[in-house]
Amino acid sequence: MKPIPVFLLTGYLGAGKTTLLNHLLAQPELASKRVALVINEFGTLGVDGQLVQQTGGGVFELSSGSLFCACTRSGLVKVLNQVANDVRPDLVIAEATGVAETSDLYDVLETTPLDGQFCVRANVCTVDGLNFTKVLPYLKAARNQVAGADGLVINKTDLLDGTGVDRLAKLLSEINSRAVQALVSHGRLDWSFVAGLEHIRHQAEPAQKPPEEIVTCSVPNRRADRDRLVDAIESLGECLLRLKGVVDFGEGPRLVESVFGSISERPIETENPRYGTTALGWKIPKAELSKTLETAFFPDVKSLVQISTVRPGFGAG
Amino acid sequence: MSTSTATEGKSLVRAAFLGEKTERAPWIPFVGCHAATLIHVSADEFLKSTDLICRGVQAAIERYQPDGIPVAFDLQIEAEALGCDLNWAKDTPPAVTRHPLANGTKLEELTVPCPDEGRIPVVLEAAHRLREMNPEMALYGLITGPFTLALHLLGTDIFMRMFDDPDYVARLLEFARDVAIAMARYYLDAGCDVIAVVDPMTSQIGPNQFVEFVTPYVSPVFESIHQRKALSSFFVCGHAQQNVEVMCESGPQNICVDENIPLDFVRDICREKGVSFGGNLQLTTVLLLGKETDAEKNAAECLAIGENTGFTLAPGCDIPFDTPPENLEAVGRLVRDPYRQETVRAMAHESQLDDVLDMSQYGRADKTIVDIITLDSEACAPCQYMVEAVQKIAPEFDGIVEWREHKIKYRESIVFMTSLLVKNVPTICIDGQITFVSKIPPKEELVAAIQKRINEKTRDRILRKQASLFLLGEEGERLQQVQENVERAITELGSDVTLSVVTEEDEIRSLGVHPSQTPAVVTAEYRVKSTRRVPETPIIKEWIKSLYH
Repeated sequence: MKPIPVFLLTGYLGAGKTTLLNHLLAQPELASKRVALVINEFGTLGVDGQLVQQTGGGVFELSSGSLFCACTRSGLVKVLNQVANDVRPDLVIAEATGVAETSDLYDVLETTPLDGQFCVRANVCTVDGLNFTKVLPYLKAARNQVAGADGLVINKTDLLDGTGVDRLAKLLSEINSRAVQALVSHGRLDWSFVAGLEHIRHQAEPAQKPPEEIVTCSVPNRRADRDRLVDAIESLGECLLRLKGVVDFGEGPRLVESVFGSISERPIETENPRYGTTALGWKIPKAELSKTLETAFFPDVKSLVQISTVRPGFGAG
Repeated sequence: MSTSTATEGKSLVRAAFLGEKTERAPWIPFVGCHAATLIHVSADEFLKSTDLICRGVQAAIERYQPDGIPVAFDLQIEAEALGCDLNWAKDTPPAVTRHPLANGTKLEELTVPCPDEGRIPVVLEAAHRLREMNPEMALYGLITGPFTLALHLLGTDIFMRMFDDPDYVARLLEFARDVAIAMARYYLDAGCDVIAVVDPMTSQIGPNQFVEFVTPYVSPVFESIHQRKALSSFFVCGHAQQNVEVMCESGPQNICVDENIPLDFVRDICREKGVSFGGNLQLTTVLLLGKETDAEKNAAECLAIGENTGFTLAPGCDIPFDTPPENLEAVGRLVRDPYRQETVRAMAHESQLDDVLDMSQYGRADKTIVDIITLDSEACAPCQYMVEAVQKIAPEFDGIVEWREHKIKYRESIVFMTSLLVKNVPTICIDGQITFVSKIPPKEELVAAIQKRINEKTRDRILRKQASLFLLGEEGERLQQVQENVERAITELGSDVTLSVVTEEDEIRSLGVHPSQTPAVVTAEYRVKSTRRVPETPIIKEWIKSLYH
């Protein structure tokens, strides 16, 4: 019997997997097929039941919640066994949690009694265009899911400017140079993109050390010079993924944010704000990132009074 | 490094936790909702009832012979008490489906649960009763680690908040730390010996993030456990290899990992850090889907790596619901049987053999063959006794029985053993049939078994033998008289003998008789040894040998 093709759908929570999946299911190429959905993130996917019903394959939800470790694999083995023997769909779309390692999914598919019953046809990772860089330094799976994908769907491109999209696309291609990228908004992806992907199983290296490209640093100082901060951000260029901080330019607390080079600031009305700035760097030594940002800040001395040339605020504020 | 004299239960677990060399590794099956299957109830019923938890865990203790066991394996107990909604299932622990902090609840509104909230009293009462029933067992109280609890309360949004609002994340983790400290205290008050902090979500972050978001919150939990003179363990399942070092540095006495991390890697780091370690039987491919021999093999591999020093043998995580109990029973026996461990290791190559012999025609030689499959009679007492048992009775069957030892430390003996479908050593096979397994047979039984086989072969021989009688000579009265005598003899015996009369001189000579020596009678025997198969060389050798006896 021919193995059942499996399409893996990965991506962090909030990247738009649900919307994307519903959009795919509504397309004629899938509507005419018997599709089984295996959902690993209970209750949060919100798949359109009517669309799924039309495909005739059914939805199989695992009750393991968002945890994925060795002890939850047996549940997935059971579900896939049922799909293989009782349902025999034309294809399976398996949605992995935002914290799943796709290598685990391959291990499950190769476990007896499933071995040979399924074959991975394509691995598609949905990337939250706006927020991906926020989770990238903290969540291993975010990077690994991108690294293992055949296709990368950059979603929410309507919320980024052209530079932001280009920078993100470049960042993703540095993590995974072979994946084909699609730029979409609201999850509007054509099935032809998925069907046209060539699947190559990514052999992840043993994770003894974290990836070295991503660094984070924090500057706890309160007072900063606006011009020098702008200069620091601009000098870091593509090495600065994001920056967020509460700083005082001499006008009271202001929230400063930078995403892919764009800079914005606005006042904060909180009574006792916590001052400090966090930056995410890409392929830059942590010390260099810290040092560059620190040039914009003054030492935290209570009696210090700084006179500086005040420029009108930049961006929305 | 000191050597412990402890042999069982919590004293053995304590010695292993403290890094001592122990007589054997303690066995800690992480029996969570799997215990429900032993008393034929569902997981959801089980985890909600003190009575069922006690019955199930007690059944596991009786069957699996552990040195330590958890009261319950459910990382949702604290979350539920704090307002998380759960989805219950028949064959797994429940899963959190709604995170209060992501749905309107403020962090400031949460308070550390009391011992009488949610299902906390269910498990505490179970701990109390199990303690009374099993005073020498190391009872584990499993608590949800701060990072994983934070995730239950906020959801995976926490990873974004780490950047957007690290202060909030820090306050959340402080709260989760306080919950963990309280839960540890509750379990210790109920009589537990070991508190295991189970924090699987930490495998999702790297070591720098671990030091920032886990260590400051989990270290105080371990400190609070040690202040009570209790034992602490840190469980992290998943792909946590990158964090093993920082896990050790966060302060537990023991760390436990699952099959995603090589156990020797963990051992080396733990030894360097002065922390004991445990693991890592494979949950799905071995314990759930494998056979007893697979479980034994995996356990023997882990025990070899652990070297009985600062090591606890355990599955990698919560045992799957439907795990065959026999697999866990086999591990429980193996951990106490060094001889069986050696045998399992020696037999580990069996699955890689591709030259298994066809033994279906074995045992058709005239002599009865007694094969003794051993580890090595020169190094192993049971094997030596088995060989001696056969040696002693062999003279009684001199000329009829041939015996030999096959030591499975040699590959050809493993091939032979596998070909005869022998699974245990020492084993005695008689003419290829497994007759005595592991048990040293008393002399009378061994003699009787061999004699029985000899009788069977004699009977077979009589039934299968074909023979011809040739009457040689000129036609006449004398030849006819011989023929009548032969025919009467054949009839009276009931034998299946073909009678041929040969009168041609050339034919008479071809049978080795001179025509002047007639009338003569010549007998010829034919025995079918093999049909429609290709007999193996060792078997054919036996047939040829028998022609000269």
